[in-house]
Amino acid sequence: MRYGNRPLPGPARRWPEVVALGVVLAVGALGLWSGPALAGESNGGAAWKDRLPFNLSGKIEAGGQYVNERGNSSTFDEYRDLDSGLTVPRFRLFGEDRGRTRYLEIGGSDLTRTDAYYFMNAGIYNWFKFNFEYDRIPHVLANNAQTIYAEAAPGLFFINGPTAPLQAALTAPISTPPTVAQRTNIINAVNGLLQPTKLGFQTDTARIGLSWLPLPDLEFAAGYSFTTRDGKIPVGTVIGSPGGNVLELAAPRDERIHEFKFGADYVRDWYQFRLNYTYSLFENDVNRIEWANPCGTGANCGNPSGLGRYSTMPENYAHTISGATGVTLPWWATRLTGALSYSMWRQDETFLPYTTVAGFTGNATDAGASSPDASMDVLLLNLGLTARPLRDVTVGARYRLYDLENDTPEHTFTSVLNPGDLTPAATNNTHTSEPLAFRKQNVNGDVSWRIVRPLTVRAGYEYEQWDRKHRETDSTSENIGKAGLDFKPWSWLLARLQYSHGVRVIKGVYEPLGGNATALPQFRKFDQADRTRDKGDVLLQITPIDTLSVSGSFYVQNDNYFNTTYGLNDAEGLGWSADVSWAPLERLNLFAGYARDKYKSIQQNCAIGAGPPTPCNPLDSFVVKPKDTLDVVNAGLNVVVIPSRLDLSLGYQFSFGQSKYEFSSTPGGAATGEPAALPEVENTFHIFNVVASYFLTKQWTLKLGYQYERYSEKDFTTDTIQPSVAAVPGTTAAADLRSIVLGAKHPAYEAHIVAMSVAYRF
Amino acid sequence: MESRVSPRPSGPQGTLRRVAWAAVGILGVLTAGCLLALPTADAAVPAVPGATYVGSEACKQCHEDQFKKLDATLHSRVLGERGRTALQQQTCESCHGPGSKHLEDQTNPAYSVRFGPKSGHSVADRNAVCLQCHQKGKRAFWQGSTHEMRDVSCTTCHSVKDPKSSKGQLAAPDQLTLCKQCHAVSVAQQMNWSHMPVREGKLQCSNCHNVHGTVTEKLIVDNSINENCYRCHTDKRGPFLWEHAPVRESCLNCHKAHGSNNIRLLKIREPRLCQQCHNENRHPSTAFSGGSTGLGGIADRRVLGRSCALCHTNIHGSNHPSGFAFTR
Repeated sequence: MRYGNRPLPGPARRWPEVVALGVVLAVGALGLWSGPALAGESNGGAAWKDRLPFNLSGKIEAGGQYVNERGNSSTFDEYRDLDSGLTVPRFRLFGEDRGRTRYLEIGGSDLTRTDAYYFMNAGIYNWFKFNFEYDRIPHVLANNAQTIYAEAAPGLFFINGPTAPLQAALTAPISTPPTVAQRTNIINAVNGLLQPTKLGFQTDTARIGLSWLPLPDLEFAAGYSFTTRDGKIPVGTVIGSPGGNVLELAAPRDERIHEFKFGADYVRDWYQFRLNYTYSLFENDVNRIEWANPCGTGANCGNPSGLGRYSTMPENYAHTISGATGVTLPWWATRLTGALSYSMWRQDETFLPYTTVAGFTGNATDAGASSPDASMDVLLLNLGLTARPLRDVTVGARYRLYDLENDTPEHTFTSVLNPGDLTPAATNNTHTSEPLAFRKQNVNGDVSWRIVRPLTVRAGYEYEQWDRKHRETDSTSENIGKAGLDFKPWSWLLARLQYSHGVRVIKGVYEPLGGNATALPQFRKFDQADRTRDKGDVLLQITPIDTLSVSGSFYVQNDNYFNTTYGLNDAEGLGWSADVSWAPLERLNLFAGYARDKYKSIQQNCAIGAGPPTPCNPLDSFVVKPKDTLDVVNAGLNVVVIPSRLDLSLGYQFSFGQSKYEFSSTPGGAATGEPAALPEVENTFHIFNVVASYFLTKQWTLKLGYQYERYSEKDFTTDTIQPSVAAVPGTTAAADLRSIVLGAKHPAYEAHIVAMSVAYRF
Repeated sequence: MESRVSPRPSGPQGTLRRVAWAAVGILGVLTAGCLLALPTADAAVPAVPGATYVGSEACKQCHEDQFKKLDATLHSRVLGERGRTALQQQTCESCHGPGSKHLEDQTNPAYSVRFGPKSGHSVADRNAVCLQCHQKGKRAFWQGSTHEMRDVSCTTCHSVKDPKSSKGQLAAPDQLTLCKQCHAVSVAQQMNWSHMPVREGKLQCSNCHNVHGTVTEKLIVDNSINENCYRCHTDKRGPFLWEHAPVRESCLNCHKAHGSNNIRLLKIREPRLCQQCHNENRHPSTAFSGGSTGLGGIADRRVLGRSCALCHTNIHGSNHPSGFAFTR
């Protein structure tokens, strides 16, 4: 039996329905037991609660939902569990002793579902607190992926079926352009092995916390959280990059995060101290991904071992100890704050072998190390001062130091598999790791002056310096001036304005590194390049009468890399919004709003088709102008149709996102240096909902809701994708034809959700 | 790389720096002058000269509706007889100030501290009342914080007697609705196709931001933007054998935290994103044009689907001996 196009869960998932049904029956029984409450509305049904030796209140809501979704799209339920069936949207019980000194609270939402939330709090007010939470977050990535692989064990992939036809098709010569027969041969061989696979993972976090106030001024706290992350994520792999064919795997994710926290807070009238310690551990049960090369050991795309391998995120841990203090001095409301934090990040997972090729099984560095002994130490120092020398003048100053030191030893490997190699060469494949490190310092000062009652002006200055190791620049510095004003002439009007202008320059010289140095030494990386940054924002809020509120905002940030010819030249973020909320009647509230967000940039690159040491031919320069926009419109109303009996709410939201990429280039040179615009990427999203709440009594509420959703997208990078890339229109390169991916798309969908629930509040 | 002596910058940058330092110096002198020569400011907590405490029963005679509202909140459990400090035991008067003068003249707004938009007390003075009890924990760095410097009062976001939320005594049903008052565009960015589960209710603004003030830019909870992300994305903390510099320095070099039209919250799509830093020979510099098919066109494995990340899969850092280009 099917509801809509989603089958009922099978026997393995029957228990959530049973639990939900049990809760519904319990709610019903509670309602029957409190039958006198239904008749005796005047006393609010309190009689049965008075018989208890403690105060009890709560709310239980249970019901069901029917979901009809056409499209089987992962976008629909990306972070939600929207299966049809029984539901318990909300559940809360709160108990206190009669003296209201001790309490116990339990509750949750969306009980039994993969996006459920449960909590429990207990304690003695102002003395002791215990809390527990269990939070579940699904993340659906794709419902339509397909793969030729199966897993022999987590992370070990073999081709699920006869491999000979596939190997023959992939290793056969491919002409330029490929013939129809060559293409069809590959497509058929791949499609013959495909099996569906779901992409997504579940993140479940359990937290407990304790807090104890032995004195009103002293608080100790401890906590532990445990997160598991399980599922499958799409991961790209390659053998013999960059000319090699790519493969995409549904790689397993089996991770755990532990976090322990301890802390103490001591607060007196004019000073306070705080100490904290945190230990964080990341565990990964899958330390490698290994897959069978579909080309086997054959020609063209095979490799000697017929296997590929890469390492997953290594396990790591961190200790952090931090302290903070604040002192309020008796003059001019002066407050001094200081914070000091020291963290140690460590990782020492054993290296995988260089390669899967037999005879090269070593993984040691030239120094004999078989693991990185990776070590980073992070120091944070923050000092702040604020004061009010005059009633209407506030001054502030701050110094911040963030120092990331990298004590990981430099490791040299001489048998490295270079991109493009299928076997390690005997010589010239040496690479040495570099322990990147940086220090960031900020100094800033602000003054705020309330000139007259409605008008406050602000001015400030900030200096930021970055010092780096193993990067193109040793040091950059930035000077930033800020100004702002707040204008509130009446209680119903508020206007805020803020502007800052910053200039960042390289201290010293920019030394290009790696391939950029050979190909395009005048290229500048944006995170270090000279830059001006202008930021402004405006906020306006008008509430002319209590029942009408209008607000608008605008922001802009422009980064101009004035000394950059090649690289990012300019980046700009821009956005504005307008919202209105109006209650023309006591029982009616209307609201509407619009927001636009835009991000655009300009970058210049140079197409260099040949290998090093070929430099850039300026005639092959091209400029790319990406532009992303988002428009969001919302409107709705809440109305009390029948006072104390029937409420109705309606809402509509529309969003439209678009990405454009425009090109321009210098005429002449190679054709690859004269690109044309890419197709636009767009998505639209409509949501309409209506909820009616009928109050049977003060305790009982019946709710009926309907939600309509419609989503569509246009994306040239996924619309035509197929597991066999040979099937994608326009592909001609041999490596493209030999590539096999998961073929996941984000299809459009249309969904109707009807939900009904009964709530009992007491 | 050997350190290099950097010459003192000249030209516009040098002039600007000198002007900026001069401004700091002048500001410092003026501030010192104010501190030394001018009268001091009043104490922050509003005081009513001559007023004494009268007890909450006196308040209840006229404000019974307020009592009922307070009774349903957490404040009623810690104020009054159960209070552990002399201030907490004053119940209503612990926030609204000693009430004897207010009893004598209820029309004078100076005789009672009010917290609504029509209050006659400054925002700083009103906030000082709350900070008498709530200075610790998340509010340790309130003074000098962005919201404090922009005159945001505690009651802009919180409601003591009439909270709309189940946690935090907020003045709105949830954080998104509350923060939207001033940050509407950031809230709207949640409607992007690629987003974190904020609009689904599984994450809140306060998971990443501490609006009460922090030691980090953008009111980030942790010591840096990256450490904030590492709380959930702990796999990216490393450290790694092969580090990717812009990744280590800031996640925001590549990602937009509030939402993006591009996969995985990227600022712009690959390969364009990667080409902001990489223009090496061959494929890193290829335009991947929309105007051509085949090699260098958009029907190319380096544009389709996961694009650059199809090969450079460990882009956040690699621990593999052959992983210097993050392909392992």
